[in-house]
Amino acid sequence: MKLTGTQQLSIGIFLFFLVGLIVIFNGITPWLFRKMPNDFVRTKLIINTLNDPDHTPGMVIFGNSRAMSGVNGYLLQEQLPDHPLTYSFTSTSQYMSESVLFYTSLPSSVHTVLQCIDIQSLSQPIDMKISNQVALHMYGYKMDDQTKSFAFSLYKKLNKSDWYYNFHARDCLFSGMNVWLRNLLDDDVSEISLEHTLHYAMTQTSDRNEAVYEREILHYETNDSFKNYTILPEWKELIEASYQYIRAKNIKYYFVVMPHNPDVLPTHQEERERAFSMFREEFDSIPVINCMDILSADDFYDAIHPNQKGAAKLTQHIIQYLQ
Amino acid sequence: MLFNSFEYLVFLPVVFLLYWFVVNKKLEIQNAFIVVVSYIFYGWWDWRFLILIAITSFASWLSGIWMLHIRQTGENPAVRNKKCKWITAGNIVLNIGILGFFKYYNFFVDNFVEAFGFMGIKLHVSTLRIILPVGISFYTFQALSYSIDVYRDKLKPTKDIIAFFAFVSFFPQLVAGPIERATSLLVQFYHKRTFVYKQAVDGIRQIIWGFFKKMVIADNCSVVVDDIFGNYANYSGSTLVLGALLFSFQIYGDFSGYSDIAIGTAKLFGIELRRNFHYPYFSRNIMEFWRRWHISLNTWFLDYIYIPLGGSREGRYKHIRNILLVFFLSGLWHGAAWTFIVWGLYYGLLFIPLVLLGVRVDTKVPQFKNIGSILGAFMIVMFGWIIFRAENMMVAMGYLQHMFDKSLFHIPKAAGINNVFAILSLFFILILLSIEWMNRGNSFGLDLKHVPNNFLRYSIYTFILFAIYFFGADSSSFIYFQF
Repeated sequence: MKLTGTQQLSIGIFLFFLVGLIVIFNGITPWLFRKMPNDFVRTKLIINTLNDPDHTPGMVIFGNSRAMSGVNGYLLQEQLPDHPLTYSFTSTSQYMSESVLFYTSLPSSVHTVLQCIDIQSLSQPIDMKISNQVALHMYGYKMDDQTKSFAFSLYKKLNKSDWYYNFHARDCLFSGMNVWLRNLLDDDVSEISLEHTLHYAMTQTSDRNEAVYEREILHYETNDSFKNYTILPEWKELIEASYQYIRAKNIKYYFVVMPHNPDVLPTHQEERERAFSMFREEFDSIPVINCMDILSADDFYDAIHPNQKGAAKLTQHIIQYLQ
Repeated sequence: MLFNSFEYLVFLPVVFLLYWFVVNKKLEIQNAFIVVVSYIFYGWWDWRFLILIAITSFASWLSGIWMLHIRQTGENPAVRNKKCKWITAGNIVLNIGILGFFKYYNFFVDNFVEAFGFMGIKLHVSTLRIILPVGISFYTFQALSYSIDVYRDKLKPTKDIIAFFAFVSFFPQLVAGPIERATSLLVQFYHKRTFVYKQAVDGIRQIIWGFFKKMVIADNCSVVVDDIFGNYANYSGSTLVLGALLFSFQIYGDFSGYSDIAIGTAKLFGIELRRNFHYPYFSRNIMEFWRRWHISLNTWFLDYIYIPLGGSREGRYKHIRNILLVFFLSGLWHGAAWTFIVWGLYYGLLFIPLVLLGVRVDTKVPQFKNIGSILGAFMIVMFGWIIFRAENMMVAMGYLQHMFDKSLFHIPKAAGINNVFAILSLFFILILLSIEWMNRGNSFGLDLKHVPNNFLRYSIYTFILFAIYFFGADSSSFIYFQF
């Protein structure tokens, strides 16, 4: 390969341009991520709230979007006898593996934790979606030593480079547009911004689309997540250790087993019941609020997320149990 | 290995550096290196199918050698020619046999059983679970072109087996074309390549443009298209039009994007591949469209099917027959399904009136005053894509029927997040069309070497790279791999 001086210079400029662009794009991604609206803004809300000593909740709720739309913190606060200040620390795709990361940051005012759980997730290896990892990283989550002590496997998963997270956050512009356009196009979008509400993060943005609903039901029926259910040892370890930690702080801890849509259930009834029994046996020391069968199909706005009516029923069920 | 994968991101620079700095001393080593890396590239999907490429390559090479040997004997020319004919036919039967088995066996069995069932005869022939080897239609046609060209004496058979294997398996175009001819690609393997700076720079531009088309246009469109085509009964007619429009750009972005990456990559290795797309959506009629879309396949059919059958020289009836046959075969080449055959015949039937009216293809660069005919041609192509994309003919008919009901005039709306994908895709389609329109006289969209203003040029590059980085979807396969 023989190149003239000008060509060598041009190649140098081109490579510099290309590498420079990648560095710039990678570098501005965290800034863009934090500026743009996205589906993970609640992670920021959770981290900021936990870092702010002015917030003194008595009861906190953890869980994913099903818990966001399904458990109404306002109702809990209003109807429980001592009216505990109730915060919903729920966020998109927040499974147990993410919830436990916040346990050690809970303020001393917290006396009750409601951990919403989809028991079928315990048969999958402990993991966290890359989008959730990115959100934690971008919004400044740092794992403390105590969390490391009972969730070391998660520490290993979350301990990646800035470059890695910035690269995976590059769809932030798309997500921002998505949230913005969704708000613009859906006429009946919820008035409450998910970014600010600490009590009830209602996610329903429109009425149930029956055609989409049918497809979703079919999807869940053909993908039976309760089939050959087992609880993996790594989950047992993580749950036991985090529960011990919470109990040591004198906090009451409850599992809330999230409801299932009866339109999906008939085909999986036996497997689901078997899975629940196994779950109860495995964690017999932890109180479980079983909400699996309390909702009807009308209480969902899609195949898995409760609507406001469903949320009211579900929250009432929790209140009754706690009382 | 996908072009838009992390593996390829590592593979390409490593191969490039080894090619120009380590194995650049001798032609044979350069060619052998191309064969090895091409087999690694292909074997990344499924190494078992390497044997098929090797069989195709060896059989076609052997047919050439055999013909050479026969031509060097002192036999009667008529006898020699007859022998060569049989050798070529044998090679065609072998290659089409392999292609037919892997691609069409189940289709023909199903249709035979159904046809006999219709006549009241029950046949018990079971279909097989056959995996379609990636790119088999492309490399088979490429190898066949060699054999036929040697038989026609258009090309001297090569004794250099390594160069021939490099010709059939050259990794940039192995799995989805352009379908090269031995007369243009094989001969490039006869000479040691030297690094040409301008060619390489051009190649990089074309690769970037290909990635933009694939990752930003095609992959974003595909999210909406899959949903709309999968649930067409639940959407308004206007949304179905949106689905067809987006699919038109999905398939263009996907396939021409692949071709751009392939051609650009080949340039990095000092090899020129033929142009496969020439701004097809700026065509002023269907005839022109087929001169601009998948050029390498269409010229293949033209040279090896249409012209040998007499083309347009043997009367109107045979001319029409030849056109219909070529489009039928072109449809069948795309896949073992009636949708592809009907799609091919759809164009065949559209061609006939143009042929009868003596319409000629305008070779001038399209102008703004042609916008009416460009839009008209695009609409016809878009309808064709509905048949092409549909799972079967029932779906295609249902889609078309539903598209033209009262809801055609509603505001199009996809489900949930897909609206965002649709808006984003339309925005980038507009960018694509603007850039391509500005460059329609050049060889590819990002061919900006004629733009004298460095700032403007680099601004466009920056925007394209920005779009790829921030809006490019994660790696997904190319549509044409299945063909």
